[in-house]
Amino acid sequence: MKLSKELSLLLLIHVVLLFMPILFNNNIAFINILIICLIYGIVTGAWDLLIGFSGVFSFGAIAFFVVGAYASAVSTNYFILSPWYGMVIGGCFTAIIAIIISLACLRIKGAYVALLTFAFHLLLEQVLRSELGIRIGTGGAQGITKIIPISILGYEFSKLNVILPFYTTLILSFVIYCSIYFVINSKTGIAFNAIRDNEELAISLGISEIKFKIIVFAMSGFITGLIGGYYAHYVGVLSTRLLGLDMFLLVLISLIVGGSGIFPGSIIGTFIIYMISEYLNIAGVYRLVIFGVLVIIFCRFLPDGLMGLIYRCINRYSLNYKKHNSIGKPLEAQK
Amino acid sequence: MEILKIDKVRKSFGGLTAISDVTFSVEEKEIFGIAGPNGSGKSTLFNMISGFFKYEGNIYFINDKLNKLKPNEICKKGIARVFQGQMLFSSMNVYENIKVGSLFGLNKPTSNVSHVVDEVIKITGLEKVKEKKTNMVGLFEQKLTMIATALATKPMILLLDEPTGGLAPGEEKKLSDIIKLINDECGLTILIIEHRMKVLSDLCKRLMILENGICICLGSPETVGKDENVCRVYLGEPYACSG
Repeated sequence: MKLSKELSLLLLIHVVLLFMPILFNNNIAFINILIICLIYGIVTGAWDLLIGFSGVFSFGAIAFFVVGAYASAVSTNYFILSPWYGMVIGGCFTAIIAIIISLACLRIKGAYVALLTFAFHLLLEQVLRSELGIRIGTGGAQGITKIIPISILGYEFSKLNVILPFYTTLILSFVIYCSIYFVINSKTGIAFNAIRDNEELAISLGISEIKFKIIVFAMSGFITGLIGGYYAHYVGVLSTRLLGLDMFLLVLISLIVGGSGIFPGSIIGTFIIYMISEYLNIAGVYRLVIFGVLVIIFCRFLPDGLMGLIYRCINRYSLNYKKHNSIGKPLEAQK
Repeated sequence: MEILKIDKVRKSFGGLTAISDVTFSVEEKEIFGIAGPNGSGKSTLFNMISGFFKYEGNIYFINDKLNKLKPNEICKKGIARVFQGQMLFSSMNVYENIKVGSLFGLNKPTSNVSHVVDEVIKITGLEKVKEKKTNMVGLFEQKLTMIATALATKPMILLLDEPTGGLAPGEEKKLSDIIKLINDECGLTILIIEHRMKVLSDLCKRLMILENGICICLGSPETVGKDENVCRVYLGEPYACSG
């Protein structure tokens, strides 16, 4: 089977990451950053499924992430379950919430979808902090401080041993990104693209926009909820601070810089933006200014992001290569 | 056999009546022309047949009522619609555009999608440009792609909304030849909205003129051309009497 350039690029990224712990001599702080990067990368990827591939301007990605995290943490604490079951519960629960939101989004378009989903984001914080939330077990404003850690074959994840969590996250990221790739190249993915490009035409050709909008919300919600659960069990504490603008902006900027709708731009964007944000701590408040400038530059000059630039370079290179071959040969023959 | 029957349909937007009590029927394998001044309700009629607008009255396809169906369900029944202007999937190339039609529009898909696409490309003569992005081909090829995409859903009725709009005279001739070919070889019933009478009289046996949502004349191109009402609508009052 011939690998497509998208899939080989994805493989390349993960193979490079495979050697990171050895290259950086098990530097715990750095590996931790890489793990969070991978987790955020998956969130960005699932968000891209909505914004980039289906043209649904949902701003609910972080809300889905938090719903998944809380659902997993609360359910495992309440029923004393393995975190792996918790993650699946988180994913399914988030998918259900996402489907409910998608039903509300069916009759509205564009910016209004963004408003509705962002309203859900804002509402969620209040619900989690409320009396009702505390009764369910969200811990109110303090959040959840005790979450069962993940363990594989008897080895428990801990802050000191980061190798096992790192490789688990890497495998998870690879599997999820591969499934996203196969979805966007399947019949379902073609329908997503068709609805994004021209909804009216898509409907007139027999595509049920209701069905596919629900599917894309459910998919994105499931992936985000699943990884939210994983995050909760990996970090071990949860609070509504996750719903602050920090993570939201980080993921959104990653999507813009990486290139939305171009596989696998989201993961590359996340790595770049998260690294900048971690190592620009010195810049203090100016960090946000730098991000702002970056977003403006990308929106103005590279609307298809870094990934678009990379693919254009690859295409130009292969085109030049072909030209040389076709023009080169007759010249050689003349000699 | 009557394949499409429009029975006293009526549509109004607020206070404006766009279509009022229009009744006609289309025979199988016929090319049926619709013409009329701007704003006379031609495209509204197409939007009603293809399910985009709700309306009063009934539309029958063979013996099924179409009133309650959504546009995507109507497409699967066998009525394909080609929009006015340029309506294409801009991120895909010509081949992929056509493939969307056959992937989702066919009633029993999966098995022979690529076969259907190749067949449609052959009929419309798009072989040379099939790898190009839709915004990199000319208007003529874009129009052909739109028709090909609709054909790929294997319809029984094709609704064409101003297919020759904006085309050069040579291309216009080519396009009407292709429309004839589709009608002859594939046995499709075609409803066509058109402003150019030459194209219409060349293609259709029957023609309907709409004005302000009312059918003012229906008949062969010759009778329509001599009709007093039609002359009044197109040329104005003073010319109507002189014929």
